[in-house]
Amino acid sequence: MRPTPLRSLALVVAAALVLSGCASRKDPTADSMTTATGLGTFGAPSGAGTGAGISDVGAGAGPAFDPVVVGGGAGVGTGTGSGFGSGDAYGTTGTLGGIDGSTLGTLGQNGTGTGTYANQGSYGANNGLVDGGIISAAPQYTDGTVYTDSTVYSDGTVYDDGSSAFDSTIQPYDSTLFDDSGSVANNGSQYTTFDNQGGGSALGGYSFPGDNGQPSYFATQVGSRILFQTDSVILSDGARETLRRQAAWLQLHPEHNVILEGHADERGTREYNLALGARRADAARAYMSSLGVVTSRLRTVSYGKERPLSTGSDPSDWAKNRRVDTALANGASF
Amino acid sequence: MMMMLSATRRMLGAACLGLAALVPLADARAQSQPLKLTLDRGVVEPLPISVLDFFGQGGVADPLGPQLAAVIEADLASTNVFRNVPDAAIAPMVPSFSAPPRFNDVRTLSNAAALVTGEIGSTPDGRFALRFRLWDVVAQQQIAGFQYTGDRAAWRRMAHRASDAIYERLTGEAGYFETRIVFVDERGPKNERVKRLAVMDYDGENLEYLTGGSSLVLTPRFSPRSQEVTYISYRDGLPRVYLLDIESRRQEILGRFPGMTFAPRFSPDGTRVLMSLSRAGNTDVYDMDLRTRQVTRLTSNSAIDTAPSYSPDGRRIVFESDRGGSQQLYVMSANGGDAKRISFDSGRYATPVWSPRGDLIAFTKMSGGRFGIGIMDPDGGGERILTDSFLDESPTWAPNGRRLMFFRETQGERGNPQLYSIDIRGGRETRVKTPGPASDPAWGPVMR
Repeated sequence: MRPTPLRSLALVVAAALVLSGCASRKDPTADSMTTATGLGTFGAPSGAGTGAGISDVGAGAGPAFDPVVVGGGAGVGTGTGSGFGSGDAYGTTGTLGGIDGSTLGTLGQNGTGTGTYANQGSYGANNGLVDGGIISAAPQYTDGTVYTDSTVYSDGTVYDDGSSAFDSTIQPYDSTLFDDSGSVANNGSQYTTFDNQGGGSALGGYSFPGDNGQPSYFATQVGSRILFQTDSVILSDGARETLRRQAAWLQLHPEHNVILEGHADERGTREYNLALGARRADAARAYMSSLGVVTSRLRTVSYGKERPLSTGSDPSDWAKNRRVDTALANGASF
Repeated sequence: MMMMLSATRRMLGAACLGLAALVPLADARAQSQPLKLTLDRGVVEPLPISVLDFFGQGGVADPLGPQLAAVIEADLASTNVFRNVPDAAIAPMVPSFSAPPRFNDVRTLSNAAALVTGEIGSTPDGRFALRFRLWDVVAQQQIAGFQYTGDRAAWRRMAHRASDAIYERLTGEAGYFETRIVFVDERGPKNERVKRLAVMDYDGENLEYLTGGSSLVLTPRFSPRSQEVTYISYRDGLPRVYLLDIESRRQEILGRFPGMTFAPRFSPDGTRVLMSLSRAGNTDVYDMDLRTRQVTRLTSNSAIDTAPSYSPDGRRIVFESDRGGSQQLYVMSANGGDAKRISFDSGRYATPVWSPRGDLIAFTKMSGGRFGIGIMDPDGGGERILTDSFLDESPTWAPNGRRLMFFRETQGERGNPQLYSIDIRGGRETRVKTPGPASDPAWGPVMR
C-alpha cells in the first residue's frame, strides 16, 4: 500500500513524535523539551483529531490508551480518539492540527486525554473471552490418603470363551524340551521310609538324612532352585536332577504342595519376562508331573524380573536370577 | 521550524536508536502473517513468548498471580518450541488486563513475539475465575482469550488448560498439559522392591498414591476416555488384572482365570481391555468386553504373545510375539487371525504402543546389550530410535501423539528407574519429577 503524500508526512511526523515520546518516557525527570510541532491524532473517521493528542494506535470508538500528548500549536491536546476499535489501528483520516501553529507548546509527559477503558470494547473486562468451562478441584485432588487395597470387587462371572483353553485338563508342556524320557528310578513302587526320629527319608535312590519334613530342610537339603540359560526354558541336567530330588521328597511328604515360581533376569522387558518366567515354571511343573507328582499339588506363578536374587548387573548376577524356585505351600489347596 | 525539527531529531535520534523500525508500523501490520509455529517440518526456532504474572482481583496482588504464570511458562518451555522471555521489563507496559498492551514498547524492550496476560477474578455468583488473553505482539492483536471458573484449588488445572489453548493457537497442534500420569513408585533395594501405584499431574504435581504397597503392582494403563486405570496386582497370589477408578478409588478384578493375566491395555473407546493370559506356560492375547465381561481369545499358538495395543480406529492390534524365534512386533486384525510381522532390524522388539494419532507405533528395542525407545510406521517402515541406555523401556504416548514418556533404569546394585519424556521430533529426553524411583508410566487423556 503506497502511502499518500499526506500519509508519508504523517508517518515522518509520527516518527519524530514517537522518538520524542520515547525520550520523554525514558527519562521522566528530564527537562521538558520543546518540540517543533504539535501533531494531530491519527483519528479514525470518527476521531476528533482536533489537536495535539496522539495515541499509540488510533482509530475507532474504543477506549483510549494512555495517550501521550505532545504540545501543539493550540496547546495541550485533548486526545479524544483512539484505542482499539474495529477500524484500522491507524486511522486514515484525521486532521493534523497545529502544523501551522506559531506557538510551540510544551512536551508533556502525560496528556489529559479523556479516553477511558471502556467496558464495551473488545478488550473490556470480560469481553473477547471464550468460556473455557467449569473446573472443579474436588474429585481429582484428595487429601492424599493412601488407599489400602483390601477392597476388591469380584464380579463372580464365569469366564467361558468357548475355546479349549478353558477346559479343565491341563495340557502337558511341549515334550521336546525334555531330553530324557522323563522316567525316574522309582518307576513303580519302591520302598519308602520316613523316619520321624530325625533319621531321614528315602525314595527310589534318593535319601534325605535328617529329614524333618520342614520347608527349611527342603530349601537347604533337597534343593529348591534350578537355573536357566539366557532366554531359555530348557531344563539342564542339573536342573532335572534337582527336580527329581524335589519330586522324591514330595512323594514322601504328601502334606506339602508346591508353588513353582518362575523368574527372569533384568535384560528383558516386563511383560515378556512375566511370560518367560511362566514358561520356566511350567517346564518344571511338567517335568515333575511326568515324574509322578500329582498335578493338583503343583502350582505355578511367574515373577518375571521383579524378584531378582542378585542385585548386580553382571552376567553372573543375571545367571542367578534366571531360575525357578520351588516354595512349599503346606496343605494349601490349589 | 524546520531547523527546530532537525535539531530535535539530532538530539532525540541518539537517545532512541532503533525506533525507526517503528515508523512503518501500519504497513508492517497489514503484511504480517498470523503468528504460528510450524512444527512438523525441520528444525523449529523456539518462539519467544512472555507470560506476565496474572493480575489479582480489583488490582490487588494475588499470590496466585506469579504462580499461574510460572505454570504456563513451564508448560510451554517443556515443549522446546517456546522460549520464555522474562517479563520484568514488559510488565509495566501492560497496566491492566482490560486494556491492550503497549505493543510498541513491548517490542522495544524485548523480542517477545507473543504475550500472555491474565487476571484472577470471580464470577457474578462469587466463583473463582481465571481469565487470560494471548496477544500477537507484532500484529498487535488478541489471538485468543478464555475464562475458566471453578474452585480456586483447581488453579493448576486451569493454568494447564490455558497452556493447552495457547499451545494450540500458536502451533495448530493439541497440547497435553491438562493431563495426569499414572506410574509405579518404587522403593527399597532391588531384591525387595516395594511398588505402589501413583497418580500425578504430568508435571509431577498433585501426586497421590493409589495402592499401599503390600502387594506387587505392575504396568498400569490409563483409559483413553476417563480417569480409570487398569493394572496388575499379585494380591490374589498371582498376577491378575484390575480396574481402578481414580476418583472413587473403587476397584474391580477383571476375571479370575485359571492362570495369570497381565499386560492389560484399554481399547481406544475405553470399553474393552486387552490382556495376556498364561496357561500351562503358554501366553496368548485375549480381549475382554468391560460391559459383558466376555472374553475373546485373539492368538492361539505356543509362542509368547503379549503386550497388545489397539490402533486408535479400533481395527487392528499390534503386539509382541516370539513366534518367529525372537521377540518381534506383529500387527493383526482386532478379531485375531493372521499376524504380520513389522519389525525387521537386528535386535528384539517389545512393548509396542500405537499412537493416538494412528500414524506411529512406539516400542522398546533391545540390541547390542542396550535398550532404547523408538518409533516406526504401522507397516514397519521409517524406524527411528529416539533414546538409548542400559535400560529404557515402556513408552507411553501423550494424547497429542507427539510426545512419549518412558522409564530409564540404571545398572548395578543401586540401580533405580526414573521417568523421562521426549518429543518424537527430537531433542533430549527430560526427566519427569517424581518423589522417588518410578517406572511403568501411563499418560492419561486430556481432562475436560
